[in-house]
Amino acid sequence: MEVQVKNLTKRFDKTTAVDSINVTFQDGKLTGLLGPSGCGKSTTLYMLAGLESVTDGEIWFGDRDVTTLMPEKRNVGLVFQNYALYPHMTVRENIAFPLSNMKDPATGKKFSRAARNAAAEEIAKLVQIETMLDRKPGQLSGGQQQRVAIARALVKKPDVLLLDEPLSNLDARLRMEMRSEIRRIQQESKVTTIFVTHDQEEAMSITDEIVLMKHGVVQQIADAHTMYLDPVNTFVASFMGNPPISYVVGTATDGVFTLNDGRTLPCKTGVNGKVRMGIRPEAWSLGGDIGVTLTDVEMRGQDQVVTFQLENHTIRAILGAEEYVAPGQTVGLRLSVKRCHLFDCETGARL
Amino acid sequence: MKQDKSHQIQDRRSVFLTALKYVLLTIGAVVMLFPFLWMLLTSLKTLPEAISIPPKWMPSDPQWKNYDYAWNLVPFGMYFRNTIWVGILSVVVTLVFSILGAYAFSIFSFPGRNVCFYLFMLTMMVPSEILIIQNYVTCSKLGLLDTFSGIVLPTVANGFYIFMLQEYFMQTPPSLFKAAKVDGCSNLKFLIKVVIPMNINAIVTVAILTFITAWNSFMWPLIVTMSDEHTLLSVGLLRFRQASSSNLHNQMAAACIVLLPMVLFYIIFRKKIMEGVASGGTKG
Amino acid sequence: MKTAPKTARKPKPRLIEMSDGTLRVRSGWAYAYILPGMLLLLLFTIYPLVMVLRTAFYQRYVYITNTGTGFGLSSFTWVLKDPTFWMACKNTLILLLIALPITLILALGFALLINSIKKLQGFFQTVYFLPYVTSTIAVGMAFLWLFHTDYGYINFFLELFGIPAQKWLTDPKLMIVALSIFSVWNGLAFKILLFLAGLQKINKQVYQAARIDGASPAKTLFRITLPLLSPTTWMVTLVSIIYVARTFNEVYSMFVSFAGGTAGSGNAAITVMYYIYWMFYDQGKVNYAAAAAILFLIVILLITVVQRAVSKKFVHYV
Repeated sequence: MEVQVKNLTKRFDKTTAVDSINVTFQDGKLTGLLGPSGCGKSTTLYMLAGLESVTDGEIWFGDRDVTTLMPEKRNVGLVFQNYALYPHMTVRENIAFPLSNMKDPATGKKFSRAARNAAAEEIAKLVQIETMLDRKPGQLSGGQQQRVAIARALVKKPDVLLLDEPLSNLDARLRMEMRSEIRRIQQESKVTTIFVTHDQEEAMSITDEIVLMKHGVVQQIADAHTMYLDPVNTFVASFMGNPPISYVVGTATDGVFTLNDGRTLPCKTGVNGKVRMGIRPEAWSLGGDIGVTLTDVEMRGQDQVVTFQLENHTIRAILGAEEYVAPGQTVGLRLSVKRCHLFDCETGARL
Repeated sequence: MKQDKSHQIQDRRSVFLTALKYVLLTIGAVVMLFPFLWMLLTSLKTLPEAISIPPKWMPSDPQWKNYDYAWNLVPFGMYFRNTIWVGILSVVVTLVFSILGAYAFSIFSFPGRNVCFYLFMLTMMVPSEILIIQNYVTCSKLGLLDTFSGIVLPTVANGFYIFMLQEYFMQTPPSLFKAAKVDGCSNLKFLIKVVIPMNINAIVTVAILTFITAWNSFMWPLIVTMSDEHTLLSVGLLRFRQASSSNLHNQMAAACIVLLPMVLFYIIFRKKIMEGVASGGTKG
Repeated sequence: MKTAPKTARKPKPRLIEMSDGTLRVRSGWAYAYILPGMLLLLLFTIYPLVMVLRTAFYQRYVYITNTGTGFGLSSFTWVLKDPTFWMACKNTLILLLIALPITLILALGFALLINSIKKLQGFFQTVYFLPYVTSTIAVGMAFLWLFHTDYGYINFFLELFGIPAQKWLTDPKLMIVALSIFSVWNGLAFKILLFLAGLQKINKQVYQAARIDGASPAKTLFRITLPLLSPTTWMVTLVSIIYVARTFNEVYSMFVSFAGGTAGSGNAAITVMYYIYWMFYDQGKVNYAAAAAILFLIVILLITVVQRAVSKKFVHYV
């Protein structure tokens, strides 16, 4: 089911957490709500769930206006950051609990105990916890609790599945594993899924589309590819990518970017005047005529991250691992114009 | 035509439910407060007003002299001093032996530790009231009858706060202790400089609970005191009831004299008191 | 012959690491820290406990000299044959089996109500907790008058509803009712506070999850809140049983004159604790008081043991 928010706004006393956002979450897709902490992404999610009331604007699930509907009437599944499992119930009871509160849409009658348990077992298979149905949440690992929480959210066949920072409580290894699991489960269940995260890598790796927010305002809505390669402003460019994009300030004239100290770099044509140029670390490669002195080298195995100064700007670049370079060394670099973006110095908007 | 709609999540039952909750809570609050309000109002009435049926709720002319009468019939001023003194004494004694004991159990290893531990735990299970029989004899032998020490010592002799504090003390990170040992800190110094400041909240809780218990203690002070010089407020109030025969208005003035300081103490420290009772108040 | 030099002995480590990671110091100074508490507890708790036990087994006992003669169970059999003792047991049981459950249910109800509102939470909490800090003796004097047959407001209210005036303080059947009402009122504060503390420990997101899962308020209460509160409920019940079993101040303030004597006319409002006090201080039958005290202690310990076992069996998920 397609989810649409129109001019959605949330104000707490004086602060505006979400500022008139318009987003369409596509049917059957996994959308990431991404942004730094305090950007309003979780508030948006809770408004979608109905746990937080809306100050202004509308929320539509398909052709249903759910803006003022109570959470239990919205048919959403929500996976909490800390899972919020019922500690006194077994895994089976946890998963079956939502069904005990609703009528079977097919028959209009209450689910029988057998039907509830069958549904719970089926969904447990999907998230691969069918062997743990009789345990209590306290006896499960973090990743397993996560799976139970997803199963509980999915069991009532929700129109929308909402996940609030679902991976933040897991250790690094489990996070990788659960990341692909969430992707698999979403693809198998084909439910419209909205996933809140502050980790750009997480968002890029599993989502179909990313909604990037800052201070309650949507910055860009695009798939991971576009978001990374074609950012609309410096915030998006800076937020996506690790190591982050580096900036230099200077004047662009017909494909030549002149720094304040007179050095020149290549840049895209078509933009002239004083601009800020963002350079992705992978835009650099060894073997060119831009001479720089490295201040730091960080070997990462498959590649190495080097740091140097251009004028007074600190630049980070990813170079191939095969060439040995050391701090203090002066090397000649080449710059790929395709990985550089020009931004307005004042507004930060892409030119 | 577009309806102007509120953006609040529509929850019809909750409006009614919330109203019902406040109504029930208000009824409960009235029941809880009624005796106190009634005491306060009655203490300002004349006797015919106080005992008139149907009730005359408000005193027509506040009789402040009821308080004057109550204050002077028995030496309430002295009872106050005594009660405060017993409260302070109880707090000091309790803190000293409980902090030291809790510290011993939390950081020391010594022969007989477990025996001591279970012996102390046993004292938590024994209702102190059944010990009065022998404690009276002990106090008379030690010359403690009708003395402040005699009131305080048997009342505070309970291992409860040792165990409560020990649970807090045990949470001191071992690394901190190791670091202190490396720095050449003595055990006593570690207690004073690290453990007590770190657990000051729990210690204040113990102090407040002990003070309230001492202030309201009754059975043992009733038995062990005879002279006005050592009588506590709770016992003194009954002494007043005896002396004032059945003068309701004067009795309520006296009861208010006893209650008001505690009510003020409560209003000032209510957060701390409630936190304290909730965290360690299982002593009942 | 030369003994092995002292240094050859393996020195015991001063610091011991316990299995749970805490550190312990091996030091004789420990006894100095224990000493004040030990002296106090030995003198005023352990020793009197032993002595009370001894006294209870004397057949005849002279209080002034603290000596007794004849060893046996006669004190116990006397107490167990004393109708006043059984009256005290009956009254205490009424407080435990009727007044206490009412108190617990009301306290739980009020705690749930306070926990579920947003505004004035602190105000209601403060009001409901007030009786805990105020002297039972002083408030008891107020209840004494509120229950007064001729001038009491309680009878006035009842008469408004057409119920004739009751002799709350003199009718043996009603005395225990009056005592129970006072006991409920006086006991609510503490229990409300503990229930509230327990409720506040429950993760708020679990309630949000229940809403998302479509659970009705009633279902949330019975399937989520009450099960999650059960450790608190057990703890409050255990503490309250022992607390109520020790009811004394309420009896004294409502039914006993300062000079002492029976708990109301014909001892109709007597509790076990008052019985012990009365036997000891008023009647001077110290060995009977001691026997009653020991019986009381045994019951208290049994209740504690049973409840510990039960709670271990049923409250196990936390």
